[in-house]
Amino acid sequence: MIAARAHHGSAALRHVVLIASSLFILMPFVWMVSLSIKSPQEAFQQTISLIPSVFYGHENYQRAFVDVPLLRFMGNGLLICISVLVIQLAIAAPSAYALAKLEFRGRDAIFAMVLVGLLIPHQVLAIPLFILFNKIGILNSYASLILPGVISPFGIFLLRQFFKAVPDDLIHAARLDGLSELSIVWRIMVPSSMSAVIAFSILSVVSRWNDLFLPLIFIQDQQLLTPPAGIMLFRSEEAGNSYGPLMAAATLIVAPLLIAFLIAQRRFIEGLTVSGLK
Amino acid sequence: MANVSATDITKIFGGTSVLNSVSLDVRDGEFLTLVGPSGCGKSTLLRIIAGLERQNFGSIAIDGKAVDAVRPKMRNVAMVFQSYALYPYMTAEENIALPLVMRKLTAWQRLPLIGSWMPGARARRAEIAREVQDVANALGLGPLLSRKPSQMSGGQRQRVALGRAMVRHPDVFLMDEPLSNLDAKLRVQMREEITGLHRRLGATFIYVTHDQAEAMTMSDRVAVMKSGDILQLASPQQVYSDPENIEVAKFIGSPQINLIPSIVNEKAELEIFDMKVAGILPASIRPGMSVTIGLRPEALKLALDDSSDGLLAHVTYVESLGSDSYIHAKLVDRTTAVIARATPAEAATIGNGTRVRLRFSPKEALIFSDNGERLRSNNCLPILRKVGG
Amino acid sequence: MMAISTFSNQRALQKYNTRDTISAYALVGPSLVLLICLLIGPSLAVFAISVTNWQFGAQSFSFIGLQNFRELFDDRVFLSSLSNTFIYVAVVVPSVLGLGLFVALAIESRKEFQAFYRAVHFLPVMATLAAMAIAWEALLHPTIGLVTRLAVQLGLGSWNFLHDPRLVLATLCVIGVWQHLGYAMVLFLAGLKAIPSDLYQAAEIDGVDHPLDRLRYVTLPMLGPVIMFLLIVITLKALETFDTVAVLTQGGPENASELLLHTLYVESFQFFRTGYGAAMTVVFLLIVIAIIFLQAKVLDKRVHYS
Repeated sequence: MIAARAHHGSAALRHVVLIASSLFILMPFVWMVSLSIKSPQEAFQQTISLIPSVFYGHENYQRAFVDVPLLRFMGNGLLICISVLVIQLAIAAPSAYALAKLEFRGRDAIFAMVLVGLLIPHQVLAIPLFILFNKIGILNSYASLILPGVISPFGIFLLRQFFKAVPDDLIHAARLDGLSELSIVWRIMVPSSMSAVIAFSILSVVSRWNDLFLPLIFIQDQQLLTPPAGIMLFRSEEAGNSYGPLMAAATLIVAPLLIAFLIAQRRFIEGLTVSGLK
Repeated sequence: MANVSATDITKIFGGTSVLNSVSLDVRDGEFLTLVGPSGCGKSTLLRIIAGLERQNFGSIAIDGKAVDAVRPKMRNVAMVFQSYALYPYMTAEENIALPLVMRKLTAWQRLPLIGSWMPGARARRAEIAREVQDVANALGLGPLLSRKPSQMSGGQRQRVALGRAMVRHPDVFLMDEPLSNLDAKLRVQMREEITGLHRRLGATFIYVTHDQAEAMTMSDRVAVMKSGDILQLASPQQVYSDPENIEVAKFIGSPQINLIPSIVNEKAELEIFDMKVAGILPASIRPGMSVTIGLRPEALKLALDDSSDGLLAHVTYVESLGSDSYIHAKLVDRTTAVIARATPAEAATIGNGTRVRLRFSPKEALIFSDNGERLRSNNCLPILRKVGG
Repeated sequence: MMAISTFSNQRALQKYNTRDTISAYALVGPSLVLLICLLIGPSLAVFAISVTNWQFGAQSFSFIGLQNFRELFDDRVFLSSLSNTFIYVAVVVPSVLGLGLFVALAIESRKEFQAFYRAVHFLPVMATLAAMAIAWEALLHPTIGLVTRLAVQLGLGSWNFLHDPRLVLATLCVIGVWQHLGYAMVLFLAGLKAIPSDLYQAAEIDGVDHPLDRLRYVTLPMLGPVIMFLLIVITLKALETFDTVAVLTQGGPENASELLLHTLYVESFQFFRTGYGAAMTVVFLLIVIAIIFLQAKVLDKRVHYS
């Protein structure tokens, strides 16, 4: 009896603690959505309410699309995320296979370079890449946002760790069956390491979609901005007097990844854990 | 020193009962083994005795006192786990010392850095170090004390786990499949060491295993369990030669006991294919009943085909182990497989397809009813005769 | 088997090996080229640029040795940026690890609502920080902010979190903790799941039955590798903080919220002092490398068991 009551107590305490920290976490999301459906008058009222008396969401969300090319931003973001991911995988998978399973002179040196690359924060590359892109004339283009991302030491490293765990006999059997080395990569290694590929894809897309640094540096043309740089532009143009549309735009930019996360929660969290603990 | 008794222990996991009102009395200083296939409830029973799991009904008493409300720490039991459950971040010395540290030092004395400045802490620490050293010497772990588990072999880890159990001189040692992660040779060696330890310490050992050979070689008594029940609790010799039911007979002994179907005829004789056996039947047997005859491989003696009695069989395979040979054969129905033990000399005369007679003394035949109960024939002298041609 | 291998089959074998090496390089080649052109090369170039007085767009530049670095350590903005960054890391990293572990333990301790709480705490990791920074601004805004209004209503006075030089860095730290907490929590949850229950049971028999003792003798040591990993990753993430500064404060007021990456961005791409920016980049890179090596050296020995 006493034990049961003590259990009750700890369960309640746990909820108190977790609800408090959840409120802290959710606060900006809730306020963002709340402001995005409030009229300007109501936003500036001193009373505290989350749900507006007049639903003004329609106007705010419409203005978010009119004031800035929000759809264009999101389209740009999508295009860049997908291009980067496809090229990253196409380049990383074969080399991860070679580093994991083939014996050749220079392998260890190349792997060491991958590890060094793993340590370099990508912001370090901003100046030299800026100069390089200026030289070859691709500043202020999609290419300048795609190119810095195409080589992912992390992707190579992660896939290599997983490829190493694929049994050698599977590769030997595939060779006897007449598969070329490249088809071994795509038909054997990648399918048998799907969890790593998915984990990497999620991380790649999330970090690309959310990145502010590169578009801020490489892009001047408004039409080429990605969502994070776009919302920053929106904010500086509106200069703080129309919070409704700004919050509506912020909500729309945050929404795709959050919705994807809520739908495939387990995949996202597994992906993160897998890549973290390898 | 302590005896352990479990009374009517019932444990229910998610609606299914894994222990059905099990009772068990372990005598003071006894080596008792719980043996059975996986899922029989033996580990659960051990964990309930340790206090790691709560029974739904029933009571555990150690040394005559009920301990149902007593935490594991206070039950004065030690446990060795199948995985050893050594703390991977501690050295062997720290692993062995931990039970003493937790008992002999106060929370203040255990604080990092400042703990050793608390009054009395140093003397206690020195005392603990001495006791750890003693245990380590007894187990031959002396030179390994500063190593971590990852730097030790399986056998060495096993010894550290034993040391951690021994160091606080518990009344009862609980061992949950402690040898199953070792290779075959080391396992045999450790069996000897553990029984030696039991003799030296004189404590009560309760040992869980699925390996009937371990149960047979190590224990004073064996409790054979299946599906949450204790089927038989007796000495190893007795569970082997005088099993209570067919499950015990099947589980104990390797190769497995031979089970041969048989019918009781109107003359109250057993008909086993072309053979008839009379006089060994218990009174409860009725004509027309079908029973199962259990015969250990060593109970079957080889005779040549032209011999006058025994079960006719076709040899399918001769398995030579060097000192012994096992003759695998099929009886005349071509489906009942039996195994007989033979000397290498006997086996040399036999090959696949040889027709042989398998003779046995009816005394050694164990008779089981259809529901697996042992039918005993204590007051009749067996008479064996061959009927017909 | 005697030495039968003749000269000719030695040659054949060698040819075979060469073919293997060629196919391996065909697979690894694209990565290798891009790795050198887009990562290793540019990183080295930063060092080269950092010893010049290059300004982007200028026709010529010259070698000036360590002049840029000397100037850096006389630059008040850079120095306050550097110290702000250290303070930021020193606050955010332990807070994220401590709170992340606390939340993970709370979530793991019972079954109810596990997935819900986990999802909630993980949301900021997924959310676009530039957009969420704007949401935070609205939350902390002097007139429309929820937090500021609550403070007023609770009689705590009016606060200007983002424009008060005494508060702004602390505010950024809170947002940093908010952002990374979920990441630490998820890895701690995975680490907690991986602790075998045998170990807790053995500890219970050994007398470790107080929850705090269990934390000290079993949970924390077993989480050692996860803690080590998080320490490095969260430190790097904190060092790379840029979005919140760029969106919310631009380093102000009075450089009180200037963080390294933002200073670097302003010098390099707003003032186009390329050589000077490169010197700052070199300092940033050296700090990153130093921290990785320091943490790896100090902690590696103590947390790897198997």
